[in-house]
Amino acid sequence: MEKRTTTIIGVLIWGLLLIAGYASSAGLAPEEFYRGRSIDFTIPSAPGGTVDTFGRVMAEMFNRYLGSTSLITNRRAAGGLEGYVHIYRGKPDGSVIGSGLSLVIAFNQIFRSPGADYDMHKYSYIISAPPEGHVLVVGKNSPYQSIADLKAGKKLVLGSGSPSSNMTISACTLIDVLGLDGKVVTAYPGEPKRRLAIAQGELTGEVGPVASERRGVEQGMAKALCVLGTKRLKEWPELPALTELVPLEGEKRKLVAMWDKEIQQLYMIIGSPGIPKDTVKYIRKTCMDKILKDPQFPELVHRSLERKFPVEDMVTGEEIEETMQRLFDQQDSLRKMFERLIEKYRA
Amino acid sequence: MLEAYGQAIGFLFAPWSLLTMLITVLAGLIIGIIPGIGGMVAATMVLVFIFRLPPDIALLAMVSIHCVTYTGGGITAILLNIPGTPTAAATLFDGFPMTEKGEGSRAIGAMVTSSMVGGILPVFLALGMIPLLMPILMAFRSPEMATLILLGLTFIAALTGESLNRGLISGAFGLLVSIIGFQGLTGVHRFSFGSIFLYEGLSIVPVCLGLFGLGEMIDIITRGQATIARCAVATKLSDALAGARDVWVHKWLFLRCTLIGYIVGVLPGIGAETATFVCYAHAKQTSKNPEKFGTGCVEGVIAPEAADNAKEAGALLTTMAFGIPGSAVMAIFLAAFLMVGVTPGPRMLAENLPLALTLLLGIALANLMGGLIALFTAPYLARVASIDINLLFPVATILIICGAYLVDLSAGNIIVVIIFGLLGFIMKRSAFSRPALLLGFVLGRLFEDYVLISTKTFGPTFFLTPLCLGLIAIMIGTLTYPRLKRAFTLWFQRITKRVQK
Repeated sequence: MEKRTTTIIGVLIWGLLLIAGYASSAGLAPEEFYRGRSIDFTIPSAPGGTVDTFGRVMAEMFNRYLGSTSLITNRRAAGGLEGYVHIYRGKPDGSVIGSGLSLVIAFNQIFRSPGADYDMHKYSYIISAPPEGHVLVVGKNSPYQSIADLKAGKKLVLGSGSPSSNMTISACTLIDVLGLDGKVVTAYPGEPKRRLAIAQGELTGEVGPVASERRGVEQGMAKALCVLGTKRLKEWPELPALTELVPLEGEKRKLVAMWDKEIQQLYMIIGSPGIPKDTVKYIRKTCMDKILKDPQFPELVHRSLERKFPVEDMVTGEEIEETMQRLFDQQDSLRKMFERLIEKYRA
Repeated sequence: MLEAYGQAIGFLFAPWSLLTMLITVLAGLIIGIIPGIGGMVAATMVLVFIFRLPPDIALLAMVSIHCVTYTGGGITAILLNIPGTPTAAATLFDGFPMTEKGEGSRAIGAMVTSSMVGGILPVFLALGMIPLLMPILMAFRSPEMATLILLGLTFIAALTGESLNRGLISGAFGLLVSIIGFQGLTGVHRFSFGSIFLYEGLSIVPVCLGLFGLGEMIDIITRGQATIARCAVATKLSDALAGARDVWVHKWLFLRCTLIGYIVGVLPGIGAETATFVCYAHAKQTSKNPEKFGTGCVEGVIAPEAADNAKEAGALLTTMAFGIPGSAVMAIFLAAFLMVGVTPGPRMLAENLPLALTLLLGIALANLMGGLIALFTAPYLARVASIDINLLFPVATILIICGAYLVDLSAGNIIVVIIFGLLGFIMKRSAFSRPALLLGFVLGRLFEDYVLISTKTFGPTFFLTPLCLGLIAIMIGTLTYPRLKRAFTLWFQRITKRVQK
């Protein structure tokens, strides 16, 4: 009897302590919540990629200005889907955040990839680098040195990674609007292999993100022809937009114009759905204001993304929410359009 | 140029640099010994400090910790039949049997020397080979890569063991297992059953750990063996130095494998394990006693270890000179370069030559440090073979399971290691070749991807290029060489007898 009483009292005390602990953390102001806390910082890619370096820079900044310790984990299975799902299912108290790419989140849901168990508009979006456009590059020594050359060419081959990625769809878009005699070959094992294939003449070119393509140009392996869009890019003003080189009207122009805004890559910091509003506001405003004023931040973020931009141009969480909501609302029509393009032009 | 060398050497031998290298070399050896944690984890660990350390020191630390993990990985492979790094899988084919014969110290001596010198020599080759690098990179397009990998696959025949049929069945099973997951070109999921875990197929680490590590442990326990070693264990330093001398005895094999490893390191997208397996198979095919391979033949240790470390110098040079990472680990180095404000590419060698030389010479010095530490501790490490198996088995099993889990922090890998552990045990008892299965697994997916890309890009006659035809000729030669050699020997003996009569 005594032993039983002791056990019951022990369980009650532990239960009360747990409840007190939970209650005390639940009622904490965001600043106190983060001070000294470990954050589960998930990076949904392999170490070394741009998402990884950007994530690590931001994790370091959060350590400085949230007063927390970021425990960084790379969760890269299924092209990073594991990481996105992990963040989505994380505790909704602000202790699970990570880096990510807007188009990967969006396209996995649009194409209903197995395992994409989330709704893209429900994440808690914190901040993003300015949108990154897509640029068409060809081999430096390739016989195709202009859009006119491409239009006259036969059996062109553009390279890409995953079959339903933004690179594949952008390449299919280009072939479609210009009426090129070409196809898109996917499954190249990584950007370095694709860049080498372009330099070797195996691939005619590719349509890829600005930073990555500019690296190839600076290394002397590729030549950039144009931006896939109707406007030039701030960070590459000398590169013409596609519609400056080729007049496009109607549906074709609309399709290209989508790449100006809706379908641009955002390198984001995201949190689980359901994080309390004051916590989200605290990170977005109070914490990010301090980060943006940190003298080391611009240099670090430029190096991690290989892009130079004013930090004031970074996209706020509210703006990211609007973009992702738009993509979510249009997912059926986007899926039909993208599937048509992929069906027609993917090898 | 001389000034740049002087700056590099001056920096390397500064007290802080030497201290950093010593700490990271020790850490790298330990990380390499622990199964499942390889160079990638080691490099990622140092990446965390990239903001806090001076850039030169941070990059030197990354290079040092990474390149000695292969030496550490070879130690576990030899002593426990558990590959500390995936590339060490080829070392255990003959390394572990040497431990069973009580020659663990000699095996480690040979492994360490081969790995150390194999890591140092290409550094000096690398600097001289810069002008040749671009032509090599430009020559190997997808068709050539497909043919090169096919050449690697033909080495399955060399790994079949006693029974060719069983060996080929093992190789075919390895190919089958390699296609699990999402096929990037066709967009089809194969055998993934809707699971995120199987989306990208099985990881090589749990497959290796299960097939060789756990499978071997189960085999030893069920045979009622008291210790790993079946006879007295040689534990003198002279035994380890005997292994070091073996590398000099087989110096031409060592040099060939170093060159093969270096070239594989230069080519991106071919897979690090390709070099070690191909070199092991090459060593067997060119040996005077190929039937001894798999029973504890020191050449079977020297060949893969030479390639294992040699490829890193090639991969680092490609990364620095062209900004093209030669391996997955080099992608982390690329990120580290960018984060410290150095842009890899042709300009790096012109504008940052002292840094480039520091890192290349750092590989050589780190290998020397790691090699000497491992060589002089080899006699003590070899005593693991005489530990009671009832004590060793639980420790080894925990290491294996933790190693498998640490790959992707995924519990699914634990299931994989158990399944392949049981499979490895059954295969060993039934004389099916595990090396052949592993080679099929490692190369199968790569081969399929390159063949599909080549067919889509160049059409079905993609293999009709001079380099592809040359590689096919080498393939045919490799397959027919043992038979031709035997036939020629018999014919020569007949002629000699006739002449004598």
